[in-house]
Amino acid sequence: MSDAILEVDGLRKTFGGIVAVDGATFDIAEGSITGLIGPNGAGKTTTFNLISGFYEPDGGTVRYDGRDLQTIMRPHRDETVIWGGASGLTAGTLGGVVGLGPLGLGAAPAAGATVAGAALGAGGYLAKQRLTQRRPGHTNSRPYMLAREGLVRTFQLTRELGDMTALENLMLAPQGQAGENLANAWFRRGAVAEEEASVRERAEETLELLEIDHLRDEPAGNLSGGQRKLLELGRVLMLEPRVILLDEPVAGVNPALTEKLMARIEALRADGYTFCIVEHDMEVIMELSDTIIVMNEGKKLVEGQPDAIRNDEAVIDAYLGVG
Amino acid sequence: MAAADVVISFMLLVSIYGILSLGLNVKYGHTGLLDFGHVGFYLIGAYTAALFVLGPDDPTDFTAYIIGLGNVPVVGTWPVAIAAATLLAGVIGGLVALPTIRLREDYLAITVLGVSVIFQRVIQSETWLANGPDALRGYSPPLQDLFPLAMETLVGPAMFGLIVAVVWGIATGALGRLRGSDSRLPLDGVYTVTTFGLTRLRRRTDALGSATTVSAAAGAVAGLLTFALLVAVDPLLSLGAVVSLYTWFVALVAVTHHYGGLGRREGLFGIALGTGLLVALLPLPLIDSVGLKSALALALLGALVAAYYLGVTRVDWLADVKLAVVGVGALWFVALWYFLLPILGPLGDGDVGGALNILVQNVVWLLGFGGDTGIGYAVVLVGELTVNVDYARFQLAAFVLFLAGLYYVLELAVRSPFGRVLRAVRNDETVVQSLGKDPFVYKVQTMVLGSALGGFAGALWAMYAQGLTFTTFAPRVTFITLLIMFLGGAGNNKGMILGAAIFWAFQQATTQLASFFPPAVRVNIQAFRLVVVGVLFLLVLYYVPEGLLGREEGTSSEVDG
Repeated sequence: MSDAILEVDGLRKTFGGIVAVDGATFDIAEGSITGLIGPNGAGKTTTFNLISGFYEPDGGTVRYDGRDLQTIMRPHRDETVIWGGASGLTAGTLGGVVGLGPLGLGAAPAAGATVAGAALGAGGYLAKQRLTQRRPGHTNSRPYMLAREGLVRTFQLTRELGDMTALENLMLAPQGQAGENLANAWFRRGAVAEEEASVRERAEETLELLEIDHLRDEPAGNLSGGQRKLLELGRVLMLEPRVILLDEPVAGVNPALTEKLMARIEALRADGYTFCIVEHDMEVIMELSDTIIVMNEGKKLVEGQPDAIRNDEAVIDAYLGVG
Repeated sequence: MAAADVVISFMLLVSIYGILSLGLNVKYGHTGLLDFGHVGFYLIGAYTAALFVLGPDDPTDFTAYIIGLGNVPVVGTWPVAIAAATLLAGVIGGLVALPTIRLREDYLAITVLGVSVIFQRVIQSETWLANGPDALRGYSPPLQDLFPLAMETLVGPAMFGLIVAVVWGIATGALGRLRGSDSRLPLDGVYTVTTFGLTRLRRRTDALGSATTVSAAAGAVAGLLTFALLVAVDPLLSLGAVVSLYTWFVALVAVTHHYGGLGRREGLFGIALGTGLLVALLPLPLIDSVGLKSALALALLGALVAAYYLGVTRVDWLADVKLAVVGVGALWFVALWYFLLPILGPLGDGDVGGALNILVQNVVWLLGFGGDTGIGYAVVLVGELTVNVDYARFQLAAFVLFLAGLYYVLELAVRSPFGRVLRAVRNDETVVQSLGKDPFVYKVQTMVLGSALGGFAGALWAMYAQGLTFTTFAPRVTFITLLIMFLGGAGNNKGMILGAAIFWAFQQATTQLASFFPPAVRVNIQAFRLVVVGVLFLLVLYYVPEGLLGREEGTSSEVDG
């Protein structure tokens, strides 16, 4: 096993008066399968939401591949330039129109008003941006930035795209598709069609792999609970990530398929993927995981090999609710 | 006015509202952004286009506006005006989106409604901007002074060639798509002839990429042929007849394709419905007493609706085809109104020649008849016909070309991976986030695209109406567009055209019916029909929430228009 790809340090999240995650600290090694277990309300799913960028933490840090999540999610420079430019353009146009109209200025003063408006607009935006980022405790929540870097998650309650077919659900996932740019969709149709064909082929392979290829053209909303779980896993695989966070991947999946799914996850780990899994099915998680992290009341309780966890006093107490 | 002229002005409005609804469909139908302020972008497009083509304002006659570019060469022309209207509406749509788009669906709808009302108020109260509460007029649509076309010069044949090229191209495109269906009509043969053998060429050389290129090329060939024939000899009437008959043929193919699956008794029930509607409306022109004729017509209409309702609830074979029989009935009614009603008068007087004359005028819809100018023909049996090509025909060709072009471009967009992301955003933004795509960027792009289409429709409206007042751009228009969208089927671009056609058919029909009443009653009828539109909206949402055509989506590697 190599170095930690995810380092969670003192992570904290509160909702009103409830402290959902309270200083959780653990590492996830690259190429490992880590199980995250704990009684209901232990803060597992909240931790997932924090690691995947869907929640903004109230304290603590998460480092992915050595970089702080907040650094990864920070707006890029060109993004700032675009929005600043748009604000400037709007303010400038308004300045010019008002100068020509109600103020009744001549052409030259109106042009001056335009320039002044543009400068004000752009400057105002940049200043606002600076101030927000300097504010202590400022965080960004832009999970799509993390997915682009290869850190993806599934959801506890499956979120399939119900109006779209199973195949389309999968075809949505690959990163950087040229056809997702409107200009390419119009003007580079040949290239887009070629890329579409290869994406389609991969999606069909993935469907076959998960043995739901007979549902290819079925709207995802018509799939059963277990099938949706598989579809979500497939969608995540299509994205070719490095780290996959699975939230209860086998809940509602029949036992035979669960076996296959576990074998599949094992095989993927051998290919170099890293998994972090929240699961209530103890047999599954014990068999699958290299390391188990037990959470209770927002903190890490114990961490260790499955065998050690099985016999740990504290874990048994936490599950049975004995103080 | 011949029935053909009524239909042409109807189709102009359908094109404008079709494009407007396509814009809203991009926002709501495909991406799920409920925009109650769509009319705001329509307004921006209309006023921008008008300000581009208007000359400088003249304070002595109490008109004032911020800028009039009409006298500037190139910039002050309609193509630039339309492009500017589209761009500006798109940019403003994007800017409105930036702060509002993060709101939840219903909050977004209300906020944008507010924005559209602000636009309207600004136009109304800022007199320096676009003549304030008074109408902004004093411009004319492009090339209008060329019409009616003079066929002696080269300009006339060239313009008519253009019109024929557009009509022929679109009809051929439609026929190309219908060709695959089962039909007793010789579709393949006709297609080969009307594409001038270009499909053969395509098969051999692969030089012409798709069916779209083939129909465009066929249109071009037809236009050039028309031009050459008109310059060499003078067969305006025959050319118009050939092109018109071709479009009727395609329309017939489309109808049989669509309703060919209906059995004989279902078809007959539809025809009975259409005939019944005509009979129910007959008291209006025939009886003089206002009270009596409205009571009688309403009673007959009520009986018709009751018969239909009982039919679809009690009879099994009707329940499955309840929308199809209405479609057949509507088409049958329109056919009777278009072909039969106009000739009943002359036939009653025993004037067969006159009846034929009117029939020819309606069949050859591509040409205008009567008037002072034009080419006179004496046709056997039919009698004297004075033929011209008026501006409405030219405008129709242009508007329908715009509609078809934008429809095609939009189909390309929504069936591409881009459209797939839009649908994903509509389904669940969180998933889109988790898959590494920023929903915000796509929503802003959607607002820009949809608003730009609204602006385009506004520019066409400015051209059509030849004068703008702020009252036209009330929130009402947004809701009419919403009705059109839900009627045709949200998420279905074809449905927008169908919805716009149904809405304007209703408007025109009620206008025609109102003309049988004295003016005092007529005003009330025209006000009351908004209520009927509202009820229609409710019925659509309640009984056919997915619209008449339903959703029709999915990515495909090839879209052929």
